[in-house]
Amino acid sequence: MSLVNSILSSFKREILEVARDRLYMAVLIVIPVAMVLFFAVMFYRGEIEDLPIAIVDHSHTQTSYKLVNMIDATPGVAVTYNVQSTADAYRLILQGDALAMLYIPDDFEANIYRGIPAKVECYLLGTNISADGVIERDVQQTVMTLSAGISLNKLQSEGIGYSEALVEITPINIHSNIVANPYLNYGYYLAPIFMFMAVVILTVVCTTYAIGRELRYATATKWLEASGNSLAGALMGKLLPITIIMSLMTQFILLILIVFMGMNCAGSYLFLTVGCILFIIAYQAVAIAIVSVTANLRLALSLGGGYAVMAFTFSGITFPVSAMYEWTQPLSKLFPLSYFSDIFIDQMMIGTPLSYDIPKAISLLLFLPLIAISWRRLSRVVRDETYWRRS
Amino acid sequence: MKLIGEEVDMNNINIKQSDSFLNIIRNEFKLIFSDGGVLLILVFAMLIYTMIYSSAYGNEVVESVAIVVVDEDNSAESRSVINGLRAGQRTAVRYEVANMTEAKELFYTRGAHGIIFIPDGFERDVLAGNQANIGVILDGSHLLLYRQVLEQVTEDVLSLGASLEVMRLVANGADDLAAMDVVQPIIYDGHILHNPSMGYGSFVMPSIVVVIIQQTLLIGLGMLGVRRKGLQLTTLNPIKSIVAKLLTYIIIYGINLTVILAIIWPIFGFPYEGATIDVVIIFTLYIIAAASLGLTLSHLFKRREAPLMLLLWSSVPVLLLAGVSYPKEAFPEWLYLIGRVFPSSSAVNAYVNIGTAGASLIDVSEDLIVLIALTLVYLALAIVAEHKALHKSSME
Repeated sequence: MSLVNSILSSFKREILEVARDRLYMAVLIVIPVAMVLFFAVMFYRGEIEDLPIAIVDHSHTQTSYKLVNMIDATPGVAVTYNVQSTADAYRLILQGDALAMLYIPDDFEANIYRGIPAKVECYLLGTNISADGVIERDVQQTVMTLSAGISLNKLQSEGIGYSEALVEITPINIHSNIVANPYLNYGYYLAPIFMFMAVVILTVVCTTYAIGRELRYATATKWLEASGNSLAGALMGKLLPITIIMSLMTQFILLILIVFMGMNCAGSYLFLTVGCILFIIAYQAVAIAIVSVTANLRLALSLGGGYAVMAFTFSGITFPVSAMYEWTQPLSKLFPLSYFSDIFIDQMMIGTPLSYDIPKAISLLLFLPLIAISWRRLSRVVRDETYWRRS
Repeated sequence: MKLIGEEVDMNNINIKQSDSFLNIIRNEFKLIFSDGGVLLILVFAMLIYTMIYSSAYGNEVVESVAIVVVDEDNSAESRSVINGLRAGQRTAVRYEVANMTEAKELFYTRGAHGIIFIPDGFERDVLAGNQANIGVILDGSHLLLYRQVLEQVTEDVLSLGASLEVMRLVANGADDLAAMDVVQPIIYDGHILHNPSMGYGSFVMPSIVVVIIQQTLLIGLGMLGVRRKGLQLTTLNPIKSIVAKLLTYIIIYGINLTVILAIIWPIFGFPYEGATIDVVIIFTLYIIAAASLGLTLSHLFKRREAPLMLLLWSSVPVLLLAGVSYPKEAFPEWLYLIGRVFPSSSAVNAYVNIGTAGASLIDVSEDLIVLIALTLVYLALAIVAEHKALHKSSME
């Protein structure tokens, strides 16, 4: 049997297996689609909006009311509670009803008129840094805006013209330009990585299952026979359906991101697609190595699953790799997701020239020699019955 | 004890057939410890995952984010801006380059996460009393890095601007305090009540540990359930059987949690506040709820690999549904409500408030009530399922 025929017959056998085995069908098709849709709904809004805060206004003045209204009008914060004492506000925070407390002291407005800097105190819980960051940003900016308005009035009352007064208040102006994700959408930042994470986990699970199943249920001989006893053909034919379906899954993800979530592809879609395929193959190579070494479906699933889930942390999307301990930083290089997430951000969000991403694509290819390294072990375990039926 | 990965003989285990409470517990321990696969998930996984995640997130604070400066002005004033940036904690001026092309190169290779551009004529504008300009290019693809760079630059430039303004006002005859008041009539004074460094590990680790408990129980008990089917374990009373099994898991997870909160937490400096008795009550209820759910679901699996394959992926969605690591205000409420069927959602919210912020059980009563309700429901389901299974095996 030629290699092509060998691949084809192993491919056919695997497709029939997927159709027959509901568990296989679930992890190959149903769960990945469901996960992608779940994350699309989860991150569709993409904005952290109207976080509830409590106000303790002891000033009860025009200026304090104005400040409260301005804060309530910001996108991130909603003034949900207006209470009498800081103790009441703290209770609301501990109960999880309010996420922060704003305290306006009774001498607030009086100090402004007297020419003494007036204080506004904001207490954040600190247990939820993403929410706290949004509250701090909106409250601080509002206080600064109100403060600048008052400065402007004071300067104008001293007879300084509006435009001169404006220069007085902000002698240096910052022009900021945000590359990639200009609206700072949390959905654009998080949804893609979570969706590709689903592909990572299920590619590893499916690849491990495809091979491990033949050992576990002692069908390895039938598998090899169906492919004319060529392990290369048998393996390629078996794993190709997973490569194809998971590659289609990445196209489905890109479709959802672009059409449903409104992202734009700033760079090369073609290169991104190539990156997706390399990334899936890299994970398949790792799974082949794990299942060959352990020769145990269940253990390979535990280890491979753990490895797949870890990638999320070590790709640095949620917490940057550069901020980790120095000794943990190199670990990020062990996960294909780390290279792929760079390629994704570059090509989808930034529009980085391709020359910067070719080394990353090559890094993904460097996972392939794992197959060669585990080849001898694999060819032994698929032929030696003592490695079978382990659970 | 079998080594991890070693073949498990599904039916050959020395199980004493006795209906005593202690014997059921003893048998449960024997089942776990004679099975490398289950042992790895129910006993060791929690410690292993906690240590790996703590090592990744333990450093807590994103500091010294690399930025690059392009200084076209090359003046005393532009130097003072750069020196201000150098002094800040959040960023580190890693590079100073001659032009934007070189700066972009660094940006593309991730050598720098922000570009500060000081145009020609900056000092001239400052000295002439015109509005001077600074350009900042930020990377919005990583919001944590973005925030650090933006905050540092804004803070430095604002304070430089303020000092310039004070100097001008004082030069025009105002006294210092009056000048300060014109510059900044209202001062924002921010305080952080708990987790004062806003550490990432302190924020995310409590939720992760809570979710790991549930996920390992669901997967481990699922695997054990498949093995149980091969063994003829005769227990007449399903309530007794379930209570004894739950006690086994309270012991195992109790020990693991003690190790985590008493040893791993202090090593990485994660916060632990709140009364220990409150923490014990929350976790006991939670372990009962999650283990009961696990025991109930375990009857559905026919193959040993199925629980791993079907549940492994769910950890991340379950963590998100608790609404802490990604705030619940940011996703649809119906999704959050669906997520509440998992004991993890109430346990994460209750434990984060108690363990990190020092709240009491009364403060978290809403989550506590939901958790108690879930515990009762899943316990009842586990008993019913156990009753059916025992009935079926006695029929055979």
